[in-house]
Amino acid sequence: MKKTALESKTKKELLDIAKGLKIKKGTALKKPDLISLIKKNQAEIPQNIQGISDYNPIENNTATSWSAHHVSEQEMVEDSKYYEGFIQQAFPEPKWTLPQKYGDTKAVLMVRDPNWLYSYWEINDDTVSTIINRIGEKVYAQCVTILRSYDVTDVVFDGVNAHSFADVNVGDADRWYLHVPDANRSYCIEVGYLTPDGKFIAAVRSNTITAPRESVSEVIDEEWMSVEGKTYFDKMYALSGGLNVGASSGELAGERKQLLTQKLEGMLNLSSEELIPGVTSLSSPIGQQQPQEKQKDFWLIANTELIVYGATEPDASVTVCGQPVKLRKDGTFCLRFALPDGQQLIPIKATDKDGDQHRQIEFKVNRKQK
Amino acid sequence: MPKGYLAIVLHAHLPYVRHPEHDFFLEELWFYEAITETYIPLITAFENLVRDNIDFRITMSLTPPLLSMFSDALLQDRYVHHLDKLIELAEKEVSRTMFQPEFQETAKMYLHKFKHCRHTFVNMYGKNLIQAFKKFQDLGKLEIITCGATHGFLPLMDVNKEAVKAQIKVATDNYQLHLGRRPNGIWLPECGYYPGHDEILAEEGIRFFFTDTHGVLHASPRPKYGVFAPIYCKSGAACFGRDLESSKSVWSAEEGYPGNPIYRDFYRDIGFDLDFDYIKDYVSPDGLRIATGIKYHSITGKESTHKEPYNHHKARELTAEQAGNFLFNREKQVEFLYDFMDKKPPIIISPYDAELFGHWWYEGPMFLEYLFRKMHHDQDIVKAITPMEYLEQFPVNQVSTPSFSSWGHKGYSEVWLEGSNDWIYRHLHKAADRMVELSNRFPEAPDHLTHRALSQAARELLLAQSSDWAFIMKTGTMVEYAHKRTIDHVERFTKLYDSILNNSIDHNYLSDLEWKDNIFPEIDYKAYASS
Repeated sequence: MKKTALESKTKKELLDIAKGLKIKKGTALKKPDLISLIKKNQAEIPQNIQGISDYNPIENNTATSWSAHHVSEQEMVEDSKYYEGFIQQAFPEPKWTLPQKYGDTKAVLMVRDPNWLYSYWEINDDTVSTIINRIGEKVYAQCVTILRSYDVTDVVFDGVNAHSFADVNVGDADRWYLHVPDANRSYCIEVGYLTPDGKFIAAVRSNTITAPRESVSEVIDEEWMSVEGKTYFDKMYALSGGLNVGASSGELAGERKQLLTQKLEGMLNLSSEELIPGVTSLSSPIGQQQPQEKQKDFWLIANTELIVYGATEPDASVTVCGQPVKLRKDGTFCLRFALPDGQQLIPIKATDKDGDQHRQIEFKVNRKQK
Repeated sequence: MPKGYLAIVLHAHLPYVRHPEHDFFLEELWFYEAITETYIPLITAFENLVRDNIDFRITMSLTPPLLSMFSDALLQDRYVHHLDKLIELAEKEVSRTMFQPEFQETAKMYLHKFKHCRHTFVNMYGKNLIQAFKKFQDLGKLEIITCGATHGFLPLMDVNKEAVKAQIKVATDNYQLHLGRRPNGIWLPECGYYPGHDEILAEEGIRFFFTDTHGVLHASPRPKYGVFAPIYCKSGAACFGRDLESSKSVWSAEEGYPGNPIYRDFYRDIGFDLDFDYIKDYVSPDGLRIATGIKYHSITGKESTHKEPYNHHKARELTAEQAGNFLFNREKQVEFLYDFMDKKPPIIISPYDAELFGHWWYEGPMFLEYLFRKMHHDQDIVKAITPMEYLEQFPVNQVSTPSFSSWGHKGYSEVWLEGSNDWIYRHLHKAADRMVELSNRFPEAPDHLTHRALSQAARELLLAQSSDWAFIMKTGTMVEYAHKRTIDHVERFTKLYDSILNNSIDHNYLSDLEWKDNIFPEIDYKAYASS
């Protein structure tokens, strides 16, 4: 039986992992039980825990790539749709967890961009047994698990007729981000086992996808081309903003005028304009009003308000500074005002319900911020 | 005759958030805020233009979840309640700022605005804003296009073509239900186009869609007119590409209009600034401070802590000026292109998230109103148009296949496929495969209960597929909610799937789900059948 990534760890390493998953009382368990418990907890929401070789180490960075890049205006708008201020909401732990495996033998390949693909797969026990029967337990135990990616542009893949292939050792992983050198090509992958004498036994094959091109098509309709010529196309490309293609709208470079007069020979330098500096994620401590600021220095904010309250007959009418005031059922009232610097005069007038009798109290309030 | 055309496209979408099981649910606020700050102000702008006989054209996508929420009685009533509280708060604010005239002006502005909102919502349109949008579509000013049923990101769903098809079919059926006709066009969720999907669109009668700039620029064969004319896919669906230049003037962090110091700041809100005792009835009942929508400050400077009081008169003047500036630039752009393209009138596609106008950029709807007024009165070089009208006037266009693309960061799938969210696809794809299996297995449901269960299973799958969850996971705000929604819907789907196959459907469980996840009451689960 092949050693999984967890089995090859020391108990101390396993306890660290267990702690990260908030598993209690791990120290009391024997190593196999600890491993089972860890696997069970990992089936919940996946966290990017270091030390588990499930994830391609290169791509552990993508989880942090968001905060590292500059946010464009379009992204800020899209984020603002979901922004309510910083909220730490705790939902009760889902009673049901999503399974790590579905018991299938299946591989799916997806396109991320012209040079990156993503695959996830599963190889069920039946498939493994079939392979073990073919090559024997001993050979199987010495195999290395490989992800083989094939360039199958314009072919109907039959297992051997790819243009080229590349291998990656994936260990126990069940997903992988794959870098492909050539955009605008079609790919599929197989996951399988490489025997010590170099034979590859595929366990599962994925669907085929085509990575998009990363620049303009080389195909130019004959008819157009003979009339307009290359310069026309280049200029049209530039006018369409093609020099900025692939950058999100927040990273657009240059002035329109620049585009129109730019020389189109060779590579052009794109300078990204300065984006909103200092903006990272939109979460911030409660009470801080502008989450995009980094308040490095110790801070203090203070303001004053004035509360004016009083009472009269419940059926009387009252004005404060000339504005009518609603009385509570018992004839009391209360008003709050922001109190800025300066002097304020606050006349309070009450009139009885028949309009015959009047009373007035006036305050003079002065605030000065030193 | 104008020398060129401008098509403003607003994409209005919110995920379906409706929690009848709670009296107050924070995420429902997304919807109420969008109504108050974006949808009603846009409708008011359209009203004003029509009243003053200004001809204009604008294209808007109203996604099926949004249409569903607009017409949902529970959410309508909750919105009115929310608005009443806001009016109450605004009245208190007018009083509280008695000694601060620079703020009281703004408080009065909000009070007036919220009251007008209520009047528009309740009195003018009977609490269902679809009536408003339909009115402008019937008047020929607005073209409403559809979107994926639950805004699923289609390129990452491509491994299951039936799932892609169902997102489109459920959407077009839902559009027909609310608007009484089939849609001419679609805004693909996140502009996510994957080659071959145009065939699915064409099968549903959709005539046009949009891609980001590189979707058209990298099309093959190379498009003669860049993004300034549509291209036809082999299936016959027309593809319009985004114009970067007009986008930049609005979206750019440095040069974009919304960033001007005089405009209203998005973040400073009295929900955070004021004393808790005063504001506690207007924030979350748990006591968490949230944005109320009443904001008193202008942007002033992006780096500074200090914010000036907002002056809405000055802001209005600036808005008019910038609308004029935008128009001027479009005139110059069109004139140049017209000569360059040998007198073929270009079309400039300017798409934006609808929430940009009003919610993020407070003065946005006013900007659009000024833009259309000036376009109508002050010149005749550029004319507003809808994509359908352009196709009708200029039916001959180049045939080309657009490239896989999206308008998300970096232009492809990365936003929805990275460390924080890639784990969901194994489960979404499995559920989609199972739904297709169910659909094929039951061309006719054996009984009413099974039919209900099949329909609900389809709903759960659609709700799980919303691209909003992956997006929120990536951005890191409200992540727990996004996890919860994904897991809840996949779990509910799987339980229904198992119970249908085992003939053990739990009636109470099913009814509870039908009550909670009640999107698309009209859904036909056979949308998932293989053809």
